[in-house]
Amino acid sequence: MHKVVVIVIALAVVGTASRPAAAYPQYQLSRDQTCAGCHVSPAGGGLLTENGYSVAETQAKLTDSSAFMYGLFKLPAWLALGGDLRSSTGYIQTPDGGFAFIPMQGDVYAAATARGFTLHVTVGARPAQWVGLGNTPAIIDRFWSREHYLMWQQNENGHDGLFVRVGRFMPVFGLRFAEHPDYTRRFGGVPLYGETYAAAVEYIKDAWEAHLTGFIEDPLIDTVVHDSGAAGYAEVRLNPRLQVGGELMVTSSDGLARVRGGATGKLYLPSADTLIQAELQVVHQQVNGPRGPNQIVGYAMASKFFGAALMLDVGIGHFDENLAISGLARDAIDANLHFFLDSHLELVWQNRLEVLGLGQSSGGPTGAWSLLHLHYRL
Amino acid sequence: MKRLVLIGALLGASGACGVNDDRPPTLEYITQTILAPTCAAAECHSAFKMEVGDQFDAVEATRRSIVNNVLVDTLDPKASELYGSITVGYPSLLNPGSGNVRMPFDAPMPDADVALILRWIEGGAPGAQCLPNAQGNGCFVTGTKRAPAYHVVRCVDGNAVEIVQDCPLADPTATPPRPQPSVCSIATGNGQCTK
Repeated sequence: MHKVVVIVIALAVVGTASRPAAAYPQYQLSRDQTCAGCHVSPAGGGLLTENGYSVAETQAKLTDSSAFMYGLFKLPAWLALGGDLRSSTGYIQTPDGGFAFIPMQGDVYAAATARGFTLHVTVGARPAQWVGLGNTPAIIDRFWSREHYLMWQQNENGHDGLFVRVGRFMPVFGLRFAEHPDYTRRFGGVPLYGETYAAAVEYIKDAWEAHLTGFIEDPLIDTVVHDSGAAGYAEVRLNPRLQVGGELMVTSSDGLARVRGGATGKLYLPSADTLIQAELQVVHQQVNGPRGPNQIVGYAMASKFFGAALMLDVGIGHFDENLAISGLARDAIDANLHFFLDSHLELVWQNRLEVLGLGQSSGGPTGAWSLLHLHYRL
Repeated sequence: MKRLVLIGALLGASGACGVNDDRPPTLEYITQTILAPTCAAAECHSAFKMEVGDQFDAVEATRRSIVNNVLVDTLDPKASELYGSITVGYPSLLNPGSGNVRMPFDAPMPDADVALILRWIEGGAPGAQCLPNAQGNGCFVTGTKRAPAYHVVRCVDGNAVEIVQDCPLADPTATPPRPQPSVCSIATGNGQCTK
């Protein structure tokens, strides 16, 4: 009975607009060696594999089926279905304060697989483009396909080996934190709705993985990211508890050329059931000529698991939009407490404090928020 | 935890070492380094959402938004809506009873960036003006990538104050073929009518 109640509550609370989050990189090393060990996509996120369902069942207060819709529908082996619904509500002060209700995500995923080929499609709600005060967007403008791609994988029945993807998706770059306000996502080249048309060659083994993606600005719709370029990311697991990675992205758009280079690291401490991960980028930009600011973007997070149902993230971010000018750096500290009621329903209490110009001669207003985030996985 | 503290210290120690703000007060620089990363998040003033009709993720889009929506007043720079929205805020168009809402909505903007924007406006907001032809008209494209709409607008003091004419797209398949009216040509790409 509680399954039905949970589904109804989730559908009732979650709105129509969309703000997708990815999978939790906190689980890599702490629960499995690779993202692809639990997800259909080699990038992680979205649809789960059988192993992913097993992990989901162990990470919850209540024990029940983690399968699509609690296993109410029997799916053929070649078809995977899933979805995510999310909303957030609470108090935001950035710097003016007020209560906010944020519909975040309403996406349905489908993947059909045959002979090593997988067609992956995500369809969901989107925030409609502005159509003028007092006007109402057409229904068709409230939906879109954020991701759709064709994937070939060398190992038809496994989660490793060579993968080739063509279509619309987010380039694999860095640690891929789930929360898009985290600085290495917001300012690090992979922002919310950063998906675009791309082709990727990816290789994944337990000991290491590498991803190379070429991408172009979406020629079909008005998008968030206008860049065209290439991104590379590789990580090596020095042992089952420790990995290091490197990243490079080169892009150009509208008179702006940008090069991002950085490093990542992850360390799992089994005795404390805690995962520590960090990403640091150096960014060089050229704006219409040789003049361009150099930037630094970093985010570090420690995640402590308390039994099966609780996970606490404490993260710190640093972004300096121009290393040559004082007062342009911002720092944030985040504290997110996750509660997994069952393998489908998650509550997250998210908190942030953000300060500008910390330790510098000038800065700016301080920002903060405290939000309750509800997530239901179909 | 010690490792986390160390990482934090390293990140914090990377703060700026310079103090002189010699950044160029140009539309290109301000758009690409301040407005686009700060204001053009997915659900804000990106091309994707274009909240309240403003788009700040590309230079030409920023110019169009400033000119069409009269966001800059070069005669009284501090009265500019662009400046006011990032310093004191205005009631939200979407929720007028909400009180003043300062932008950016999701994260504060550094004082130095606000100051650079003000310097740019005080300098005449170069690059963000309606460029009139001999009849005092400019040309603009609005709408979306899928459904662009072209207009002739009247230019007054650098702003587009009203639409003079909506321009149908050329339709070579019509019988007889329908060309785009010459007055609507925006071939120069800078918003100035070619005729």
